[in-house]
Amino acid sequence: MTIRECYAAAGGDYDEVLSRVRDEKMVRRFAQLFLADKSYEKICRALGEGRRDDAFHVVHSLRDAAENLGLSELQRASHALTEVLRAPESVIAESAHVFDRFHAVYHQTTAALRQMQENCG
Amino acid sequence: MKVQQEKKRPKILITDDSKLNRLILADMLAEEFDIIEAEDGRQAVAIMEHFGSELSLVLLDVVMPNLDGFGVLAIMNKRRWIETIPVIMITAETTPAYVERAFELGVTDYISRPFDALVVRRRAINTTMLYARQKRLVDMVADQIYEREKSRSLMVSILSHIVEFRNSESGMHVLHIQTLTELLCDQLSHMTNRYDLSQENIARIVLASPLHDIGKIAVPEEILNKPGRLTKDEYEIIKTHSAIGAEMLENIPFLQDEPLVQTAYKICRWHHERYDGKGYPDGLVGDNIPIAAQIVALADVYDALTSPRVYKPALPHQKALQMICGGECGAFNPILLDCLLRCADQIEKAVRCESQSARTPQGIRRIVEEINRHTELSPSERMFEQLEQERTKSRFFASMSREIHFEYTRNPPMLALSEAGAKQLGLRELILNPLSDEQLARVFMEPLRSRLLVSIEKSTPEQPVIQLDSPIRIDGEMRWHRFFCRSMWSADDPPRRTGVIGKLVDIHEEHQRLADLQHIASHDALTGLYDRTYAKKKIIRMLQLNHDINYALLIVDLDGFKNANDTFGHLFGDKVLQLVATRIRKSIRRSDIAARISGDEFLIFVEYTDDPEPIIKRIFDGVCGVFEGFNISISIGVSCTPVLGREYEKLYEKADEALYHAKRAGRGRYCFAAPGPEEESQ
Repeated sequence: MTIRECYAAAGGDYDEVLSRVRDEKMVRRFAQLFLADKSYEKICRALGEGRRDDAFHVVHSLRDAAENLGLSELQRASHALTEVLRAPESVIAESAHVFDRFHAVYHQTTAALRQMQENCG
Repeated sequence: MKVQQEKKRPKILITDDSKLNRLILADMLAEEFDIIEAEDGRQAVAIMEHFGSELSLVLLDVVMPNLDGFGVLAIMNKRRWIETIPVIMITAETTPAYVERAFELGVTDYISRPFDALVVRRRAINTTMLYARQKRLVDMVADQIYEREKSRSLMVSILSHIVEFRNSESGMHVLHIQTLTELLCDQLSHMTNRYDLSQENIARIVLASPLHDIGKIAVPEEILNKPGRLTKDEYEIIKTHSAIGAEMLENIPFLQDEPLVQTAYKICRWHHERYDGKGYPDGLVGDNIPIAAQIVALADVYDALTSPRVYKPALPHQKALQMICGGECGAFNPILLDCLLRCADQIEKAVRCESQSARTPQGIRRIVEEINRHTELSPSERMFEQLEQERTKSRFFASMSREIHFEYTRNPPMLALSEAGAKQLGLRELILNPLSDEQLARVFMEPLRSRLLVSIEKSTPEQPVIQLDSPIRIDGEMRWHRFFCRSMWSADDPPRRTGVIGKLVDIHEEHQRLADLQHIASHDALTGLYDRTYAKKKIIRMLQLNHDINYALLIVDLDGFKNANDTFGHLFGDKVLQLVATRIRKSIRRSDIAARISGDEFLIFVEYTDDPEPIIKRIFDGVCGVFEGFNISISIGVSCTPVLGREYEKLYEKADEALYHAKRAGRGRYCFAAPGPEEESQ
């Protein structure tokens, strides 16, 4: 797979990112940083322990990061999750699919980025 | 001399709770800026507090835990940092309402996610340049105002001098009048609010005061400089000068609205009025006479009295005051007379020291300050500058002294180390959450940490100073340091502890010397064992502290040592003693005690569990033996705590008795002290 295809599989538009960052090396470095980031683990822990405010802040910052990396799928999924996390309790109960989607997209995104780092080095 | 030449790059503070976003921004800006990061608003505020206007730019995210971006902006507005530190807001394009609010709170620009490297860099650079230019402009305007005021003052001086030289006076009159007027104005403004004596107004009165006699230009010289007494007619002519001077000012075209001209008019026309209404030209009474004219009139009279004139010599200061207050030189406002007396000392000093060259343009400086106050921007600018200077100063002194300075704030928890201090300790200058910082924990170890925290907890606003000594780890080596700290308190009631400031001084050498001295004082020089007094102290302490431990006290005597000394000489005797000491040390444990208590007598104090005999035997066998042809033999008396109790004197006495028995029984053996009747009955 080419770097473009990998990025597409991660739910992003490689050319769009490159136009902003202007350097392929930077794109790869940011992807590496993203993979090393522990936000996802923090989110899972906060959700597991019912710390909704903390979860909100970390999801929010993950969303911002995804936006900066042009990972639109993940940005949308985490944005939806922030909306749910600041909604009333009743909404949360009915929003299992939002959580599921977030986890699924995160794994898909990171898997594709990992492949990009391995294959296109 | 080594001169450090490093180009200073602007510092930029990136505030974003997403580590990744901070890294991305840092990457984009690292070429032009020194980057400082904060992960929430609280940290950002703390960092701004620390660096002040050293920060060239702040990048600020909106949504953050603890304190969000708007919270930070609110604080920056309240403390007026926003005037000197530009802020660029980080926003998403989806939230235009944020941008509007941010602009209202004083941000300069915004960048939106997703970040575009070029845009981010360009906006950061533009903003810092803009602010730098604005700062330069403010300084330039201040300089120009200063220049303008200086030339204005110069023109007034020239004009007044023309009049004065015609009047054959010394030329000092202009200066004296200004000085006296200024002192009186200042004093009066502190005494009452009755008159409008703002700094700006005072400056104007002082500036205009030398013009009071310009009307004299119209008075014939013969009359003006007549040495003898004036005739009534001549006096009437002189009296016209005040009205004429005012008229001259009144007739200057176009300048009637100038505050300086208006003030000068009042002074010229009414500086010969009297408070009781008997003055000229208008006979005004009391405060109908403008205060500027009243003040200059008083200054004029004082200077006339204390200066030599063609028709009279100079009077001394005290005499002049007496005459003025006694009503001999006209009638003045009582509060003004009071004012004169209150600043009499200053007046005498100032007028005496006055010289043309030494005069400082005080009034002008004041005006600039006043204008600065009104523009509301420069004071904070100057405050930052002063702060900056203070910082440079303390940094310099800290670097000279090799002392490590630090400042700890509780909320947010942050430790700031002096630059040199941080380098010495191998730590960062700014440590957030210091109590849980691992690097810090490696330098400041337990039990120091707990001791420090407890001392800080115990300190009060009345007794805020803490001092304690402890080793800390520097470069992998433990070195003794002395902590001098002071806990800081808020102004609340009751005061809250806000942090700690202090310094760390390396006292390692001093500490080492003290330890050496202690060692010398407590040890026998020949053998290195304890001396008698110190051993006794230690034994008594051990007996008191450890109630359930059995101890044996041994007194050891070298058999036939006197012979060795006589036969082989004292040097040999010393060698034997040293050998015995070494052997004793080898046969006891570290926690046991061994001392040389007299020429050839040793004291040993050992711990045991059930039976002391094996230990005694080990010591006995360990010490005995042949040394260079001399047979070392010892006798030992032993007393044990289970048998004889835990009183040192008793144990010693009984061991000594047992030693006597051992010697009597033929030497070269040990003997246990039997219990006395006292102990047996127990």
